[in-house]
Amino acid sequence: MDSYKIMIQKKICVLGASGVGKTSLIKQYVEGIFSEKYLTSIGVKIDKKQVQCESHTVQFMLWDIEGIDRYCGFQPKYLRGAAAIIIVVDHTRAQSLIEGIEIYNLAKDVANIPAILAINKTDLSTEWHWEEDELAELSSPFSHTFCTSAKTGDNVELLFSTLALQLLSEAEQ
Amino acid sequence: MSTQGSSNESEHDPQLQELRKILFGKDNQHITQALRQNARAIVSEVFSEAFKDRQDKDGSVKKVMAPLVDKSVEYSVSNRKEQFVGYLYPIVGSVVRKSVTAFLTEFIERTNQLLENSLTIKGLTWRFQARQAGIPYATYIASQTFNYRVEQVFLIHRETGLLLNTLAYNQQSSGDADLISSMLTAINDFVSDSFRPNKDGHEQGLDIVKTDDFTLVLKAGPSAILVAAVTGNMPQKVANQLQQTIEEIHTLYDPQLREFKGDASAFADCDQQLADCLVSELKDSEKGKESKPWMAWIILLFIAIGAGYYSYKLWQIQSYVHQISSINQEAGIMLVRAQRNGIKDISIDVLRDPDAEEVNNWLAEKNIPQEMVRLTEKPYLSLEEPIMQSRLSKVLVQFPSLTLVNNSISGELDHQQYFDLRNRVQQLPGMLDSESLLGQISVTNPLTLQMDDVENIQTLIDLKISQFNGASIEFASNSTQLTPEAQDGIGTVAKIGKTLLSLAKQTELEMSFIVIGASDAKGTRSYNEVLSIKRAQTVKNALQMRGIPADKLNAVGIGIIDVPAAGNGARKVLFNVIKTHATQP
Ligand SMILES: Nc1nc2c(ncn2[C@@H]2O[C@H](COP(=O)(O)OP(=O)(O)OP(=O)(O)O)[C@@H](O)[C@H]2O)c(=O)[nH]1
Ligand SMILES: [Mg+2]
Repeated sequence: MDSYKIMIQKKICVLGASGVGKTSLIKQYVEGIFSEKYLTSIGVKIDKKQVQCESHTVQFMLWDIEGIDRYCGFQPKYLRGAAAIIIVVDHTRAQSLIEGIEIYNLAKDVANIPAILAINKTDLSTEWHWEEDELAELSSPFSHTFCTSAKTGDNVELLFSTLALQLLSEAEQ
Repeated sequence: MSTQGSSNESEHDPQLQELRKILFGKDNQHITQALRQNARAIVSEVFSEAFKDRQDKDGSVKKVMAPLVDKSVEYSVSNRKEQFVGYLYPIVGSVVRKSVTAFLTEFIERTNQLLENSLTIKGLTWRFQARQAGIPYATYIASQTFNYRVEQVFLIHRETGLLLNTLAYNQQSSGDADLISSMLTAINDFVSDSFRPNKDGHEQGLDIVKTDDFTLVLKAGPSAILVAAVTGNMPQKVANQLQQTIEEIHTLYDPQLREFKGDASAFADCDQQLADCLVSELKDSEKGKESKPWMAWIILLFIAIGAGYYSYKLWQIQSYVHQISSINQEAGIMLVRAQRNGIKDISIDVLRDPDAEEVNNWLAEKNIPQEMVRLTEKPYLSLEEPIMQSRLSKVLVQFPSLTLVNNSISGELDHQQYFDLRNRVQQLPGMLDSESLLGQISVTNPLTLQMDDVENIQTLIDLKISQFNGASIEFASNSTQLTPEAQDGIGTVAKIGKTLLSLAKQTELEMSFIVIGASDAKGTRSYNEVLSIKRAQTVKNALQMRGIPADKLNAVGIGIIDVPAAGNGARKVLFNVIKTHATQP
């Protein structure tokens, strides 16, 4: 049974500009719930969820960090000891992608850990689209890029299980 | 505009130019100088109005000012941070406070839940009682058994905030310990952000978190933090113990701590070290004695004793009732009813032959306390064998020469005694076969020896006849009832009669008796005739019952005998013996 598997705990930080859907993504993943209501996060909120892999159980400690913007600076302390970061950007706001890349660069200076890009709110349509090669270039530093929707749950599960497998394979090396 | 026009004209006049030079100075120096001297006053007079006018006109002031204001604010914020925090705190502070409070509340709640889960049943009842009493649980706990108790210890990886190991007072830990660890680390991060580093440059961390319900004590080492959740009034020595333990863990697990990649199994063995931290202190009052609810015990004991006593009594009295019903086997006693009244007494109704054993003796014999028995007794005559025997023995006591063996009496009696015995035996109730009972007795009467002498017998007969004839039974006026004296008289007459009959047998004489009823003169003749016959009949019956055969008795009524001299008149029965010689068969 599960209890005989070795359990590995991992601290994951979810970062991004405010309002991109960090809290919603985690809520969708952990509780399977989505709400249209927007309550901006302050400080950090921590949740956990286990992923069953073949030989191991990975327990994510998910740190939902407040949106980083002009008013609320980047807090490197929260990244301490994190195994990976997830940068969330809003598919409907081009600016949020730029901000996401900035945040990634800041985080990279503090900790050299794998990062995943989540382009969120893909359930919403936009007139504006990134150029394919532009996007490819932007997402090149990330180990994976997912187009997610916290509302429909698209790719949310996949994002985290991919992350779990990646962390496990890194640990084995 | 007009000035502009004139200046245009004069520009071409070199003289005017010269004059202007003299008057205004080179490059209007004099005027500007003069204006400059008053510039402040002049500008200040129109400054605000000019700003407003221009802003109203094309809105350009705002455009020009905004970057200036931005710049100056930025300058102020970066150079006078403290002051600006002071200005903004009332606004921003309340928002932050709210969110921090929310976070802390969640944290405290989770920790509480964890501790609650890890508590024993006793703990739960305490928690319930504390809630009822409206006081914080910790206070209540403290007021109960423990001065303090370390409910759970957490070993947390400092870098990641991940839980390495945890140990609870009652050995079972809930799944939320890891979440609590992370949250605690976040709080720690927050705290070290919010306060300035110490003078020596070290980050300040949390030492202690106090809530209504518990106290968290934190001891941080370079790679791990040890946290204890304590209920009650925590003494300093808990913190000291934590310090000691965290140091120990660092020496023992240094490489594991540094290489920690999320697999906490390497720290499973530090249970031992953590166990050292699960200290508690019993209250002084609880140490010596376990408080026992004495009152309750005593009451319970009384109830138990009472119930035991009652059921014992019930059992006892029921067994008495059962025993008593066996009294029916006793000869001459008939149990009509035996009933238990509560557990105190038994009421019994019996019929008893006067010759049977006394009920009270019987009870004593069976060890049934007489005071428990309410006895109602009615006499009756029993024909049971043992009772008959006892009646017979009572009679035989007066005849010491006789012995009773196998329902037959043997021994010697004289004539007189024999008749006496036979008389009595025949009178015993239920005596059916007196002949076989008495058959073995040999009668050795000296009188009988003399009976051979016919003359003597004849004399005796004559004597008895005269006695018989002389007897009379008196009656009350207009009555056929036998008075007690009359009964006695009849007894005597019957005795004489029986003697006469036995004498007659020996002498081959036939004898029979006439019972003559009479009455006084009151009333009619025919009535008196009937009355006299009835009186004679009554006496005849009475004699018959006393053993004189009916065929030897003749009752006659003779009606009125008027004897005025006699006080009672002739209300009597008289007797007469008729003697004939027996006819030879
Ligand atoms: N349609 C749609 N709406 C989303 C999605 N994800 C988030 N939202 C909405 O976006 C708003 C912001 O979501 P949050 O999850 O609170 O965003 P956040 O990144 O946590 O914001 P901060 O905590 O302020 O940094 C909410 O109203 C959500 O309902 C999504 O995938 N699709
Ligand atoms: Mg949020």
